[in-house]
Amino acid sequence: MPFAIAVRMGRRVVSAARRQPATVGAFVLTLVLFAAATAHSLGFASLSNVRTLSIFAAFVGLAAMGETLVIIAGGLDLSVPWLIDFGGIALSQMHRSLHIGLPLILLLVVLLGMLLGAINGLFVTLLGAPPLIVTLGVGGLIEGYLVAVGTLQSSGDIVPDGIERFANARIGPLPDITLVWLALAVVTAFILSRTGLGRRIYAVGDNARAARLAGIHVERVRFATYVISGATASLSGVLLTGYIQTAYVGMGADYLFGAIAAIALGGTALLGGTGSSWGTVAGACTLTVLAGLLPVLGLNTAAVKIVYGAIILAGVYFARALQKIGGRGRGA
Amino acid sequence: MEAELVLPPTKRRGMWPLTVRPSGGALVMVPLFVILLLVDVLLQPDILTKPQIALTIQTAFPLILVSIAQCIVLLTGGIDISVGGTMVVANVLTATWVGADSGSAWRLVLVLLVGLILGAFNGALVVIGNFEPFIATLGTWAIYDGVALQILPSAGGATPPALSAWAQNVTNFIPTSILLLVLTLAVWWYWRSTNLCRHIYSIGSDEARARLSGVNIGKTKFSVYAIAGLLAALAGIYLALITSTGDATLGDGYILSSVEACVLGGISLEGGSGGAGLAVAGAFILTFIDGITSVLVLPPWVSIVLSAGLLIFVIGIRSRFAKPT
Repeated sequence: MPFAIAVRMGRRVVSAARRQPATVGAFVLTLVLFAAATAHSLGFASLSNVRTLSIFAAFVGLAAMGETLVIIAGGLDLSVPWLIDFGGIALSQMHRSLHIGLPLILLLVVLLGMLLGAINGLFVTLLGAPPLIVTLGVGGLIEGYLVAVGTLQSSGDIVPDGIERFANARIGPLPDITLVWLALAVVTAFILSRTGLGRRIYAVGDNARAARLAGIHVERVRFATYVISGATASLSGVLLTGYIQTAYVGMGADYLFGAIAAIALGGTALLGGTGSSWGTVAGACTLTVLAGLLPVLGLNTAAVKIVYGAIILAGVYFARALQKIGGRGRGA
Repeated sequence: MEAELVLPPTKRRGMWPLTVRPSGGALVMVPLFVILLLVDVLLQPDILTKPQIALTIQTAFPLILVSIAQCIVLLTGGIDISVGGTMVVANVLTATWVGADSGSAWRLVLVLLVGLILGAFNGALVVIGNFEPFIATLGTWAIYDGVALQILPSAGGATPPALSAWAQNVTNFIPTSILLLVLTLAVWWYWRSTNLCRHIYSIGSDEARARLSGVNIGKTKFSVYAIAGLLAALAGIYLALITSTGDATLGDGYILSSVEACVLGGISLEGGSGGAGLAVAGAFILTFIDGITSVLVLPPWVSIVLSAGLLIFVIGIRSRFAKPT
């Protein structure tokens, strides 16, 4: 009986992989880079290093998760770095000033993140304004608010103990943070491949005009993606703050480049209509291993940047080539 | 990716640049420009002297050049995130390879060529590699930034003294910066009548139609990115000359600012409408905002919120009242 189930799951994975060859490609690239790093320095493959890598992959992956939906639907969310900042800073501020339980604080932070995402969504859908500028503007507003809220005291209880413990806890070999990320990745993949919302997201991204003619409420779909992006990005910020035990404006800055690169490496076209959640997961893994590999090779900051950019270009090129050859482009 | 429905092309935003018909974007930009200029002048009355005006233009000129570069890329419906990278490569080359030896000032021509090549690489990625402009220029931005950092890891270097002195001059009868600005606008005015420029506008307003009319889309887009690289390099050289030093970290701020300048100037992000004049105006609008916030000594969050809010306001009005596609 279990064997039959395993075979069925295996078949599902294989057919999904065939539909999303870029995802497979990104995972393969991850393994290649990992092998290269280990060949250079055996400590790279140590359990503790892999754990650390998986945690940072989770931060990128979470930030990119909602963004993937936004991009597949044909939009773009550039406010992610400030949503991450918001997640961490709001968590810390609420912990200091509100005396409610941690779960409630978490809920509030994520809800507020969704609200901010909704602002993005409203501007994009109601005004019909290009998402690139609008989300940048909203990001600026968030930044202004965070700066106005003031700098955090560096001493004392910045981060709630519960979060700190969670950020450093593990279940078995996997850190809790990574588990959260992977669990949400499964949920996102499910949404994209098995729900009406997912189908509508692909339809809207592929051809908004046709989708509208088919009766899909294009604005509502796009709005939903921005709200989800707000939620995942602020969650990423919460976990990031828990891990690095501080929160400051600008801590999310690097994650915009990372998120978009991860999404592109995973085979999602920036113009929308194709892509997958697992592709972004694979892309996040690739990026994190790459970022870990380059310093190991002894490259200075400048060389790291050059190689990073070059590999991203190469990776995106091959992801798109793979998608064209193999996949039908959608699902999971 | 839009699959082609069997519908007639309905984007009707094309304009032949030979006529001086203002684009819709100018309608938002002009009052914004005038209001902010007046406010800035009221707050800093002594800015109206010729040296002060020249100094303002001098400080704004790198942004002006980068914004023009961004503008022509936006006109084709693309975007160039690597302008900051190309700019700093040219900037650090000016401060190191060209250096303070007056005899090697001729190398600046080669630096401009480097900018052209870096831009052409972008063009190749977009046209031949079929990359989306956003991701292509995102990647090249990292590469170019890294190259600049490798050439000059920390700010320093030296620039040709005579050329730098000339660039920094604000007391001549016609200060250098004013002269350069007028020259830039004159070149743009002439360039509008060229075929290449016409092709750019037609691609931006309706690419399918342009292709059917025989416009070589690939060659045009390639040229646009190459020219953008050239302009970004010019901006980098100029920045090095007016500061007499090189700095590989200064490019990043110009990227977003150039896009903001284009938006504030009224240029559409989808292409086909707007021009360098609007980009220049947008760059000045940003400069006025900077001036106002520094004079009023507003807390930092106020200026952040104001510029972000202004951006949303401008793009909102433009989008709300844009002709439907």
